[in-house]
Amino acid sequence: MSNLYTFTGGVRIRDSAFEQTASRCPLETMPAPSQVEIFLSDGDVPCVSVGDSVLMGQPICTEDSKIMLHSSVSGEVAEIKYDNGRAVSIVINNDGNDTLADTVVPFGKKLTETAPDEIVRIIKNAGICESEDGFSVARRVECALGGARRLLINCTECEPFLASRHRLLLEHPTHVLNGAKILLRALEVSYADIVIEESKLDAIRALEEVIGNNPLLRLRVTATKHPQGDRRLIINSVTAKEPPVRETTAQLGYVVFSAEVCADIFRAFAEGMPQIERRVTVAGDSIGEQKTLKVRIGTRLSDIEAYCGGVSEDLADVIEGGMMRGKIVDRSYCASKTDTAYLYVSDKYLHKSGHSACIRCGKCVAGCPMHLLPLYLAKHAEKGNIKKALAMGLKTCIECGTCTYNCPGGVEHVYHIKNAKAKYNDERAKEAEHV
Amino acid sequence: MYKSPYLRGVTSELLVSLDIFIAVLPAIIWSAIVYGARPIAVVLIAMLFGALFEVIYAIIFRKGAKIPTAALLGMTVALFMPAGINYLMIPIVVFIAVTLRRFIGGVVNPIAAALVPFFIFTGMMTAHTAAFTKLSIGTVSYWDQMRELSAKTPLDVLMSGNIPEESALDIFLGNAPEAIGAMSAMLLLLGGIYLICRKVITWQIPVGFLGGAILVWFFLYFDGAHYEYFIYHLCAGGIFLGAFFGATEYSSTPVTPTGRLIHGAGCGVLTMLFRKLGFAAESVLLSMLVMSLFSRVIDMLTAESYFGYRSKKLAKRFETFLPDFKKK
Repeated sequence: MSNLYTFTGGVRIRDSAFEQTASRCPLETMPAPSQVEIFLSDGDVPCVSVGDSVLMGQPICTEDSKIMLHSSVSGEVAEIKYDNGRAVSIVINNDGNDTLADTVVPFGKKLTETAPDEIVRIIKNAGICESEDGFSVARRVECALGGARRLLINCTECEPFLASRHRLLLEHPTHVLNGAKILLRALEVSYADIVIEESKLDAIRALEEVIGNNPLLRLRVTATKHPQGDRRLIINSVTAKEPPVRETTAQLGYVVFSAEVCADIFRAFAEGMPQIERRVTVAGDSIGEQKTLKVRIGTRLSDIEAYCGGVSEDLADVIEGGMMRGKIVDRSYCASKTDTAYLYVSDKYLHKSGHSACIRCGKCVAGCPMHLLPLYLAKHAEKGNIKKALAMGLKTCIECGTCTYNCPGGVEHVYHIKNAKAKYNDERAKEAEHV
Repeated sequence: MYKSPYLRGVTSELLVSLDIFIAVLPAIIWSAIVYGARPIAVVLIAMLFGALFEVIYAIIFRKGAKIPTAALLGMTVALFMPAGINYLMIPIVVFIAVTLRRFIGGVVNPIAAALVPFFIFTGMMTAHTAAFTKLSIGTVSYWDQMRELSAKTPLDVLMSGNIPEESALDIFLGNAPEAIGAMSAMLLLLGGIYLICRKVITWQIPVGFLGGAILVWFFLYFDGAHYEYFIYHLCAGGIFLGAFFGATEYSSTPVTPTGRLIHGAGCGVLTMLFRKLGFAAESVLLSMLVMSLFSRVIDMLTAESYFGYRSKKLAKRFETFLPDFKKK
């Protein structure tokens, strides 16, 4: 299909190596575990104390936190863990009743009678945040209020193994599209672009059936290339504009939200339920059964592993997220609001980095979606030369990993660039302190 | 131990070197058909010495040894030699090539070491023998026999202003005397297409090289009547070898697509200009050497503007050239 939307660069990851069995499993709702541990981010102050009984959907953090946190089960607060005086996590024992809090009521008014500010308020109170970034959806809508130009719904899922968004689109396309309509009302844009990649033909058909002839929702089919899921590349694929990294896309008027966010927004309006569940893919070759699950936020990985048939012995590491942009987590991790997948992979898939030397073949340059020269950027970043790295585009790099994927010499571009970015941010923080 | 991204493509330096070797193999086998087993011995000795010197350097300097790359470099250098070259020349040339690659490999094309026999030990060293005369593998040097065996290459004939007696098709197929690798333009073209399909090299450098050469031929050599004579100039003298295997040397070429086009075109233009100046077979090597000096500069000039930034910020890019001065 030559009329696919796409961006320059990127890499097509050969999917035949990865059995996509997870995309054939319907979304299951995992039963709530006996105990959940909800992690707090910087600036969150708990508004419950040990021994309090909480209901499902009740806020457990004060209102001035960036993203509202709610209890995903009903029960009793068992423990609040502190670290250096800051509350790190809240442990809640599940009493198994799933009693809803009083605030969990469906929204009464019609969409056409609702002001955008009210929509933002409900989204904020529901504590909905973006899938992989963790940015507050309410904040992004607020930034774009009045000046929004396009609304794009990210239904792409180009990393291998991941299937939860695919299943959501297959089973509940109405939820996603209704959430998109709510956002349309808030942002006052004329139509929303539903962006999906061409390898998900069944999801495309399901969406087309629901959309019909609706002028508000337009389906855009993109090529299946990693990193299609990145916000800026979605905007670039559909609108051919390039939002620079120094500005937030919301302020420029291009608003991108993922399909799960839309479904959660719909749930916040239809049932009044805040974001207390995440749709994740549990996949890999070291887990008993590959599944797509709806897990309560705060579920421990050990409970998920037990539900999915246990972990085999050849497990090398657990990766949260996709194989390209995810991060390795340890086994005591708990489900948080930004998780998309838990991959239990063995050595067969993980690449051990060894001797690396750039041979200047230019494959990284050909694949970089940000038009950088990754070989020079990585060289300066490795030496720690932040000034030269900034000149080669350190801030523009989105760490998609296309360069490292293609490199015959085994250069670890992403690793060096991440270190250089951390060093740069540390230096800036130190300078800010001095001033 | 595991670094993001956790997936990698199936590619490695060894596979790239293997692909290049496969691409050159038809040309080497053809040289064996024409000249007997001696060219293969030359190539093998060059590869061995390339690996040997690389290992010695790695032991001395304790930096990693890139043995496939060094062996490939030795082989590429050997491809520019005539089939009857003195065995004792090979280690000297390969040593210079490996040294160049190790120390100034970024700005000097190490294949330019093949210029040494042309400039320093001229004459009999670089004489070619008539096509399809079998050279015995045991003879270390053909210095004495060169008078009887030597023949003029098509390029020598062209330089003196005449048209070679072999037909254009013969020269294209490889029936005329030439350097080991440069004989059959057809086999080199097939090898080059194989490399482009395997994504080892990109099309910009070969197309630029050939296009630049044809352009200069049109303006400087064209006599107004015979359009097909450009084939003689392209196929004789190793332009195909330089275009697909010489100028595409990774370490001394630009990385950007536009930069590679400029590099290839510059090499092609310079080759034909050097031929006007009198350099015969060494014009290809000289042009590769000259263009590789500018590889980093071309890189910085042709780098695209980053995603979202219209101005190219040239000054900032050139800042990366400056050495790090110690802070006071």
